[in-house]
Amino acid sequence: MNFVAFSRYFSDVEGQVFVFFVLTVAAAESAIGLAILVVLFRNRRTVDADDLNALNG
Amino acid sequence: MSFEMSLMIVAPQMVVLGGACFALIVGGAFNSSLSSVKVPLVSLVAAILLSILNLGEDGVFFNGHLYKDDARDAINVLVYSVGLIWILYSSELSESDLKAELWGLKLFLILGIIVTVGAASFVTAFMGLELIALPMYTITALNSVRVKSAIECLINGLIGMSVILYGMSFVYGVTGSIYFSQVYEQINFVMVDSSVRSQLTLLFGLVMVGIGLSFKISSLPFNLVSVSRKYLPILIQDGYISKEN
Repeated sequence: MNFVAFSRYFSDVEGQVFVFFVLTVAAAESAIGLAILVVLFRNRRTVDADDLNALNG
Repeated sequence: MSFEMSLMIVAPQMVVLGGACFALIVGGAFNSSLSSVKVPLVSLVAAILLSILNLGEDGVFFNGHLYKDDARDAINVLVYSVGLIWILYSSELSESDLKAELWGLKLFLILGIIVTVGAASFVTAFMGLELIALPMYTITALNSVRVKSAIECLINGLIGMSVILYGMSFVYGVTGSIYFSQVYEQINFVMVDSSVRSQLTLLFGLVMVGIGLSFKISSLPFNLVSVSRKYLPILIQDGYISKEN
């Protein structure tokens, strides 16, 4: 949102173009996160955070 | 600089990108990781040769988004060479760790490092950092034992990237440019001639970018709040060395 606002303020499209890249990459990142959650569910049969304590130090 | 000239400059990156896509397709189609290891090896050797052929062409390409000089050429060749050794080394992994998608993801990671090294604007720096991060999450999650590490790594990276983007937006707001050279000039101007409010906003943005980068690589003191310290070496092995442990 900051990028779009500043881009409008400067009358410059670069900020808005940057936002397109950010949105696209965020979508890819969300897809990877959900895929990792699916893999986790297949392995443990749960996605409850309380049950995922294997990495507790 | 003509567009054809710019394309010649990024020919090594395009070869690596093509190799990564091809390795993913070959790995998915034949489901054989050992046969598809030849694809990244060939593409990396081709990228090294093309990088050596492109030596000496200095300048800014793609409308100021990509920078190229002798130091970056040397780093590119070094990264491709280390990547070649890394892939050769990880082909010795056990069958349970070798997945068909591994080689394509590793090529994407190497490509991300190259894009980050050549970045001359916020867009290319952001894309390069994400190209490094996304394959790292996936490589970590390939091993079923370390899926939770992958989630921690993903959340860590998301927070870090959000902070970086927030800082970048403030830097853009004060300097009015996303190109590093213009941002550098504007920083010098703002710090000398501009109002205190602009100076503070710029400092806030720069500090946020620094904090986000430090958080993303878990440098001191952010290692204390990032991924479980006990398992961080395993993540690093997964992402960068892929050593069987």
